[in-house]
Amino acid sequence: MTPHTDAAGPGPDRATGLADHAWHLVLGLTLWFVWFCVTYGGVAVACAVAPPLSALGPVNWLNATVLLLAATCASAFGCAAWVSARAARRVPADAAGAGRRFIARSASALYATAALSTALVALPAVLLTPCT
Amino acid sequence: MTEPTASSPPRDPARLHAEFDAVWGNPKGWRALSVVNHTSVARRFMATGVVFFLIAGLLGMLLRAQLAQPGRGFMGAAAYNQAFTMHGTMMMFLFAVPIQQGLAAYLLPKMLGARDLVFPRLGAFGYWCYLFGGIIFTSSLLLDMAPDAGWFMYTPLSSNTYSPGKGADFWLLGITFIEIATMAAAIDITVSILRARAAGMGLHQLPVFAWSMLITSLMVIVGFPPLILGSILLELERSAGWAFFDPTRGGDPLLWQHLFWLFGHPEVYIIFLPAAGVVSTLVPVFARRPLVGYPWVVVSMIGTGFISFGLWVHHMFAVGIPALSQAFFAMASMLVAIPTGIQLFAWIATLWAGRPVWSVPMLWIAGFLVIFVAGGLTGVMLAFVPFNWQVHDTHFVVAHFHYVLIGGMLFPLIGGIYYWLPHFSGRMPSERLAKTGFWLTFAGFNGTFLVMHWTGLLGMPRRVYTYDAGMGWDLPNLVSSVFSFVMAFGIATLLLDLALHWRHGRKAPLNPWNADTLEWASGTPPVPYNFASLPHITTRHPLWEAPELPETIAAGQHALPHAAHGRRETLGVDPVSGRVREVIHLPGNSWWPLVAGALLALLCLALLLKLYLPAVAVALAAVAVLLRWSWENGAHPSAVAGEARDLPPDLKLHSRTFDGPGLWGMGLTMLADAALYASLLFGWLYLWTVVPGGQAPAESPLGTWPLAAVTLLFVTGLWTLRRAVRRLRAGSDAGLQTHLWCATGLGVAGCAGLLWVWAHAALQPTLRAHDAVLSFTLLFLLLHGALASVLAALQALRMHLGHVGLSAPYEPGVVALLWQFCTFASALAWVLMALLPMAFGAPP
Repeated sequence: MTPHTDAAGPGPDRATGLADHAWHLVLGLTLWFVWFCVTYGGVAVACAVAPPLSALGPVNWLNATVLLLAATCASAFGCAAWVSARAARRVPADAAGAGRRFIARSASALYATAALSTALVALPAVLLTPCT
Repeated sequence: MTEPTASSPPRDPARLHAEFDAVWGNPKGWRALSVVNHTSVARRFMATGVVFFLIAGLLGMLLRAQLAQPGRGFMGAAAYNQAFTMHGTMMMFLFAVPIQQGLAAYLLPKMLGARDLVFPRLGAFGYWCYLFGGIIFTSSLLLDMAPDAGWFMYTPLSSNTYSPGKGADFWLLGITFIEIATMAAAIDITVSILRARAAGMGLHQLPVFAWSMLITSLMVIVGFPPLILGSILLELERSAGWAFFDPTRGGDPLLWQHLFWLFGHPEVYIIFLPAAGVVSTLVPVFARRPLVGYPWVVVSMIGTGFISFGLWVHHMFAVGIPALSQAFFAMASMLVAIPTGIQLFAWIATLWAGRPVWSVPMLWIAGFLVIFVAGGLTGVMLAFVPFNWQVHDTHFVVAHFHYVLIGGMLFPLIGGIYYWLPHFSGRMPSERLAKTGFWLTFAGFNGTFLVMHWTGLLGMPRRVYTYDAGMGWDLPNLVSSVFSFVMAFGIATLLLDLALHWRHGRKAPLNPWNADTLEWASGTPPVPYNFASLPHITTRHPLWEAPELPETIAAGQHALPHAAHGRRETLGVDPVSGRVREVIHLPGNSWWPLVAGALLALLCLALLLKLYLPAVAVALAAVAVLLRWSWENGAHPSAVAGEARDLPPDLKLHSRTFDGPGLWGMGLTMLADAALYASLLFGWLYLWTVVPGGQAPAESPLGTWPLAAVTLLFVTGLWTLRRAVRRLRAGSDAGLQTHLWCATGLGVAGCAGLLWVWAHAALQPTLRAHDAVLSFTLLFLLLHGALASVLAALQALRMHLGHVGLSAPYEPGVVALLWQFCTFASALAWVLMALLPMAFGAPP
């Protein structure tokens, strides 16, 4: 028998917790998509039910809500990116930790992608009237 | 833990081959139709895809012949409409997706160090659905009944009023039938990549092609259900008169557009990402160095996959959506170019940092880089709303998507075919013919479609069968048509090369390109079982780091080097680390996939001919066959006799554990089901919000509590089933059968409750869109509840016969996933369709 160390066996590591779990590869952008649908659908419903006055231009409660939600979500994704990056640094820099390091680094990049996507997609709410 | 798949002493390769061939070899003659081996099925997929490509290509040539000059009478409007609809539909559904899934099905087990995909019979079933569905769909051309409403079948053009014939039915039923194959292949590929790899191969060591197919397959699983739902709803509207898209009855044609493009935009990336995986595989081999930025390429592909789901409305910029909402999609459409750009830079950096060898596959990759970059840039242009309005439905858009699809998919695919040709056939192509074919295709393609950008900017709309002279469109159309024939000659040269190489090509060495990935260790051409023994892999470049692998594998020096037990086996691993968990026992050749596929084809024909009673009978027969097929799986006595003697220490067959591939397959099927159900609920809320006066009545016709009672029955059934699984995990099978029968009874009671709700709700689906959605939801829940009940009853029966129990505890957990879905679906229906209207519905 050849001894074989389990590189990323079951159970969380004490130094990284669950921050290098493979679910992080899909969690951030899944939540981004949920945010995207909620924002698009929410604006549509708000325009159908209680549209802000078009004379107000982009400065109205709906755009403010869109921007506030986007800022909150982008910040949360940014924090998650930072936590994942920190977890990647804590994984031992040897072959046994390569898999976990890969996941944590990739997750960090994907959370950062979610943060950037949230901020950029919401940006037009600074300029555009929502319901016309 | 210790590695249970340690190295074995060498054996005589010839004797070992004979031993494996007895178990894995393919029968000849008519019995070849029962073959399920991934290599054979994938070859059939690819060959069939090429045939459909040629038919669709010929239709494209007819279109160009018609448009070559103004006022030509070569084709009338009706024939032209049929030709462009069939050309687009066949290229997208019958060629681009299936052929890439075929390529993946052929390569992935070999790249990952496995002997087959995890669901070989499902793969064969998918192929028969694809073949029969494709034949039925294509036959509409010969019958002069081909659909003519365009490949995206917008309503009301595709409704009974404007498409009264059978053309739209051919599209809706035929394409939905073919999508069974696409979904089956996606589930098979996903589970195989995650669970059936070489020991030790962690996620971070997956070949990039495997990553691309993992992401693509998950996109198919989530992205295709909205279209499947839309097709079912539209067919129900056409055949049964239910109102979904008819604004006079509370429906909305834009709901179809949303459902179509929820599928349709990710589809572009579903087609592109596998091709990107091919490029990321070939570029390092010909640059003779590892891919620069492997993690960045993986992250980019994941990012592309997700962001592509946030672009669907950019196909609907002209329908009157408010500017802010359009801007969300415009931004997302620009964003998606960034991860694609990262991949592009990784390929260029790899070539820059390597020592590139220019050969035929690399010619096609270079062609891809040029064409796809141009197509990507016009894509970013189209993300700008004002420009999009300007060129909407013009030939500019046609040119753009041909640059993206032919550049982004066909060129890398042909590069890949040339690269893996020695693997398919054991022979090398003719370099002279191959280069001639490339240059003709490249010049022909650009001559056709680059010019078409100008035709579009000059204002020529797409889908017009002719035009008047003197509008400035004459010359560019003539140039496009002439060059389209040049491109056709290029493809013909390529096909000639492929045909001749089988006989005249020189014999290929084992690894002719000095590639790094494991498929080149499985023989050229490969043996049916891929590997006589399964190596331990802890690198992304196994053949560069251990060039002796082909010999040691063939000599049986790695894991599972026996087949005398008569089983088809491969290793089941942890999805993340690659740690070996169990031995996956793969099913052998079977007639069930062919019989089930043939019955579904009959069902499709019966529905097309509106023979509804025979359709019900055929559907019941198909369900019976599928259940009979499922009966043989897992721990059936004919499958697993005497396993203990042959297995490596510490390993069990998957049916003796709680975590085999079937559990993952069921999980992914439920994910697809959830995507379909979410699309349905989106439709419900969409009609409520968007249609004038479409607010649901405050008092739901379903009542407040009946659906709650049904949900309670399903919850109790799920709890009973889960309790049984927990007991099995704890090592007790006491009362297991009783639990399973209890769950069956509760499921039957839930179904009876749904029927009662339906009978008492007095819904009028032909008069009101709301009632149509409620009726469909009840039908959906009823079908799922019935299936869950039948499967629980079959589990009880299997327990009684000893196929399920302490020694084989695997299956109840798989069935419990379906119960879980039923419970959630029923609860959501109650909340959204009974409770929500109480709070926000229209007062009486």
